[in-house]
Amino acid sequence: MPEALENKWLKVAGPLALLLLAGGLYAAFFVAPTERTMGNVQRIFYFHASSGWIGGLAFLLNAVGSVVYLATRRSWWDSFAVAAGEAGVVLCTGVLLSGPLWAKPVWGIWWTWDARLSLTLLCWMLYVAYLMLRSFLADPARRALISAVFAIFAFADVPIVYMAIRWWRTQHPQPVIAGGEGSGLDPTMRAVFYFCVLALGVMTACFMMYRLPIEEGQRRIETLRRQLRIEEPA
Amino acid sequence: MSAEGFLAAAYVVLAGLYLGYFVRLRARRRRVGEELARLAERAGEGK
Repeated sequence: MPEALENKWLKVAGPLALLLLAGGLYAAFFVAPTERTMGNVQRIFYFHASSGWIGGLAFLLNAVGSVVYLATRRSWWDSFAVAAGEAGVVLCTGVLLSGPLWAKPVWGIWWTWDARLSLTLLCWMLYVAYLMLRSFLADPARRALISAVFAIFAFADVPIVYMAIRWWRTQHPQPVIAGGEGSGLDPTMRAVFYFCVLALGVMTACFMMYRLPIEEGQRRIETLRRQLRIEEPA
Repeated sequence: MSAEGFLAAAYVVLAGLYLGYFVRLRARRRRVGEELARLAERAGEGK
């Protein structure tokens, strides 16, 4: 394995993520109290909602990376953006898969086209399009430029997804954290939720630490391929 | 399916997704590493 693809922080962050995820699972099942109306199925919340939070954060990092790339034209920021964007898509996929598994026993339906659900699906589609767009552009500089601009526009959906349950009455539950007056969460449930947010945050940092050097390596491969073509005898 | 069945299914799906992505990343890193080493050697950087 070339040294450029190694990340020394992973040796610490990897086991830490595993430990925190195991702790989060234990807390979600054995520490958090059973919710009164929904029962045990509400325990999906701890990893469903935290996947949404960390997914949103990953999309924010993708937008930050894209803006800094446009300002500096340093390719490292493009790699940072794609690492964050891809992790965000994985987390958003987790939200879209675990949501219906919670909705079916509670609402009696797998899916409904309410504002929160539809905008989350739109968000997922935008970032999948971002990743697909990158794969269609062969020139590295053009790829980084066009996808950075696309990513900044795509990010416009993320705060709307967050605010959807605050702005509109939706089938999706109203916010239990930062939801204003009348909203709230049992203190133990809140502590378990924040612990799961931390666990998924460290896991996502690990994903990015893996993904970023891969993108840098792929860029180096493209450069070497071009060089070899030039140097190869006709 | 019972409520507990849906709960178990959600966690199995999430674990499979995140673990699957991690395994895919490791495989990609190995492939890129091998390709990079091969090309670097051809370009005379591996010496």
